[in-house]
Amino acid sequence: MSTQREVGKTDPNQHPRMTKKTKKSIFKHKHMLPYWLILPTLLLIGLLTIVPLGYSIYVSFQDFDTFGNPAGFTGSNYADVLTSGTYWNSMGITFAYTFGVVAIEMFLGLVLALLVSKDSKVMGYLRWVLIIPMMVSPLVVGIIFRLMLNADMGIANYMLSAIGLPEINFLGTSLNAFLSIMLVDIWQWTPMCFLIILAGLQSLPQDPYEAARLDGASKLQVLRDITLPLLKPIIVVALVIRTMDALRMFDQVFVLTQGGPGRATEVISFLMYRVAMRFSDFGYAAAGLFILLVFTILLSYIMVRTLNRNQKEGGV
Amino acid sequence: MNLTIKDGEFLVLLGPSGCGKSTALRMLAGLEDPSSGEIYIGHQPVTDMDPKERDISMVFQSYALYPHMSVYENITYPLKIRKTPKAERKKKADEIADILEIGDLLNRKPRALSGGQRQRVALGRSLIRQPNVFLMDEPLSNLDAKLRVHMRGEIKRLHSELGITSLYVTHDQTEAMTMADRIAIMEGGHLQQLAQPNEIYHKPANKYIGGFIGSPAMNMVSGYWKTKEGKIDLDAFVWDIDREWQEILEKQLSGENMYLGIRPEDVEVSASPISEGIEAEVYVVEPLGKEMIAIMKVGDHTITAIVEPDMPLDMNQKVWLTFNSNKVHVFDGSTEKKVV
Repeated sequence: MSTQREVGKTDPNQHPRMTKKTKKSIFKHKHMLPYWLILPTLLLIGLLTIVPLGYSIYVSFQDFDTFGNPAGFTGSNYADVLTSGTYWNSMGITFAYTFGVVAIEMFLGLVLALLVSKDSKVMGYLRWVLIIPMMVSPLVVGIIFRLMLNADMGIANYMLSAIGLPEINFLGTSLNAFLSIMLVDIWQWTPMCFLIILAGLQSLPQDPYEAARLDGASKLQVLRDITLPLLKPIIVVALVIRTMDALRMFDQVFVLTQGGPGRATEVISFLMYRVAMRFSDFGYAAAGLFILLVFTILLSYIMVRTLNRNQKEGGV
Repeated sequence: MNLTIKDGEFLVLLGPSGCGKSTALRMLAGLEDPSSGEIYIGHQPVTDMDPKERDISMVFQSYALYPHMSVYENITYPLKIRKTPKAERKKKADEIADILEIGDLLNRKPRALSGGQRQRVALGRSLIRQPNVFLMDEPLSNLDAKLRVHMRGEIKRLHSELGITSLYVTHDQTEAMTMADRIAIMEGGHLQQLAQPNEIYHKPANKYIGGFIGSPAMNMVSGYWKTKEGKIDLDAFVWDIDREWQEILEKQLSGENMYLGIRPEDVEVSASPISEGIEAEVYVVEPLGKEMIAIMKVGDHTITAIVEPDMPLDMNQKVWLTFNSNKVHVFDGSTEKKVV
């Protein structure tokens, strides 16, 4: 008996002309709105990163003829790369270079940040001066250093001889060339570590420091027991950014050494550039770089996971 | 500010926000440098000493726990710095954890603790090395009302057990009244009165303290002494005063203006007319269960009284107010110091 009434029953709050259908479409519209809003960004990201990445994976499975024209699908590029001594030599150089520069840059960045973290006018100017190298184009930095480190007419050797030290063939021997490209990277990118760590330092809570002072901690103990543990997340962020960047370094080698002398400074990016541009073997180069990408992602993942674990365990 | 704290005393520095009480505490701790003056602990001048040399410990308003350390590591950190052997550290941490009832929290990080638990850990870290002086900077202000009452008792009990000279900063007069051996009231960077809680309440040194201490606040009515007539003119009513009062006022008042302070519990309210009573009109009543607050209008003045909870009072009802002259505080109109 009540069925008929229930069917005809209307919600007193509902507008008489608002049928069930229109209500649903409004809901659907509202539900979809955020997706519509982020669609342009997604499209842009897709165009700029996903599509080229997908294309490079596609290329890495292509065979190319001598003239650089695709010559069909092949799975041998990855096998060729993974069995190549030259590739693993370059991988070794890339990782040695990366660990070297990142460790030194992090250390110097931390020391500099600790030195200039106090608020004063002089420190304010110093902070600006310290980040200037980061603003210069890497290519320009490479050219400046090539001139400065020139064995015969560079200012570096002129200064060394002026203070009575023997001249150094900066780019002429394997070890010197390797250390020189490290030096250039350290000069240019220490400011980035410095800036990130400085920002972290200045955002740390001040109360634990005062508590530590009252507890009787020395400056060194405060650094070891309070500052460094609290800075850990920031240090990991700087570490991830710099590691990803250093693993794909190209500019300095291109301008300063062209991978030489011999293959002493031939990092992966430069090796693959040579393979692609000189031998037109785009498939091999794409495969080699894709393997480097996998290593980079793995390394970053490990670092970020360590960071997340630390954040879960500690922090108020 | 000249302030001497007795050995083993629990002194509360009380005042409104921005009066300089926390700054005074931080100067004593060595976290801020005084622009002038001297600080002594015992007979030793400590003004130029580093905080760690002063043998002071402090509980911060924000607790200031080390977020990356466990409760055990937090508590024992002052001992670790002093290179105390591990076994002794553990023994002392267990003792403190027992006193503060945080034994089951020792392995947790501060993030996993409630406000009250963090407060206990902060207390533990401060107490473990048995300092000369124990400072607390509004340690209960981040806790909810119930926990605050509980921790108030805990801290008071802890002080009586350990007997460490303590300086406690707060803006909460209830905390000050319930915990302190003596209260130092500060305002505008100056010490206004230093006395025991009861004395502060019953004999406020000036108008500011009279109005600051007590809830509801003391009724403060401005008046004008008519010397020739021996009366105090309070605008809405005139108060005849006896010979003794007249002599005191004549001697001590700097002018003719004054403030009369009457605590709400000293105001008698009668619903039926009293010949000597002051006629008033009920403005609003606020029942609190065990008592009732009645706010009344006498001319332009507002008078607050605490009355029995079952007293039948309605808004706009006429009532008659009386008060015992012995309970009235008189403050000088210009210096605002207490006269009677």
